[in-house]
Amino acid sequence: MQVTTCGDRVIAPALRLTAQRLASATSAPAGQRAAARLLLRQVDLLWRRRIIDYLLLRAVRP
Amino acid sequence: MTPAPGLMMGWTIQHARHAAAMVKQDGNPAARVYESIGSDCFLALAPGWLNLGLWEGPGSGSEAEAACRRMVRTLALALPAGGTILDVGNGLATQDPLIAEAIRPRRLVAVNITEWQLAAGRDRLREAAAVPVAGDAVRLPIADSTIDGVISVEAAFHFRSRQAFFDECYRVLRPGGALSISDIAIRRWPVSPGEVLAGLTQLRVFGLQRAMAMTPGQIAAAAARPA
Repeated sequence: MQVTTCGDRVIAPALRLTAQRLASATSAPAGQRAAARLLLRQVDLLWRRRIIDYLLLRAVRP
Repeated sequence: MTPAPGLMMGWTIQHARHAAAMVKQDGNPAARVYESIGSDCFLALAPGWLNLGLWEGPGSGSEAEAACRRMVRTLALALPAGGTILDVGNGLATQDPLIAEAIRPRRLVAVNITEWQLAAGRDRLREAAAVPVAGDAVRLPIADSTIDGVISVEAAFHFRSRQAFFDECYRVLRPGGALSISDIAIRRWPVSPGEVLAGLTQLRVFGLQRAMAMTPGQIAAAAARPA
């Protein structure tokens, strides 16, 4: 069994790029952008406060 | 099925169903989420990709598709080459040609509980020579000890039970077969009001049960314990 946590290589960069995309998505409906901004802020909070993480797991059946 | 054209201020029927499911979850809340997101979400990191990517840089648009591909390739290369492989929760099948290219499976089976995703991904499934199977990750429609590798990319937190999914993996894998997944875990429970609100909102928006919030240690323990 191998478990690797890698939020720094997954969540953090994804949040950064999503924030950039959202800032430039001026053609998307305003309601969707507002909802996305709220959700993004929440995920960012959960990540910055080290509440969520990302893992890779490999296991072999005996 | 891609979302219908916007009905009102950009909100579609799929968005309305998703919103309703946040109040009262139906039998397949993940389906409502991904129907709402559709196959062409304006926030997708790379077209057609639903995973968060495995990055080498800080998160730039120029690396996005490579990061999404790197996630899938990293997980796939942990499986035996040339075997019978199960891809559980395969999204829009964007990953299946890459899995096929990475490990040249003798047979690749893509299991997804969300039939519209299987339909939306049919060209990519064909490209990967993958067999689409509508099915539940916790009740895999697969015979015992017939699979050499199971891959699941950023989907397990949507399954009704990780333990039940791991038990099914144990059942369908041959001795020596491998499981390779990526997943989202919690490190600690939210404490402050802001953290609690954020956590509960994310659970509802993404159609998740509270029981699916597990630490890496709990997830590993579940994977290590057969039924």
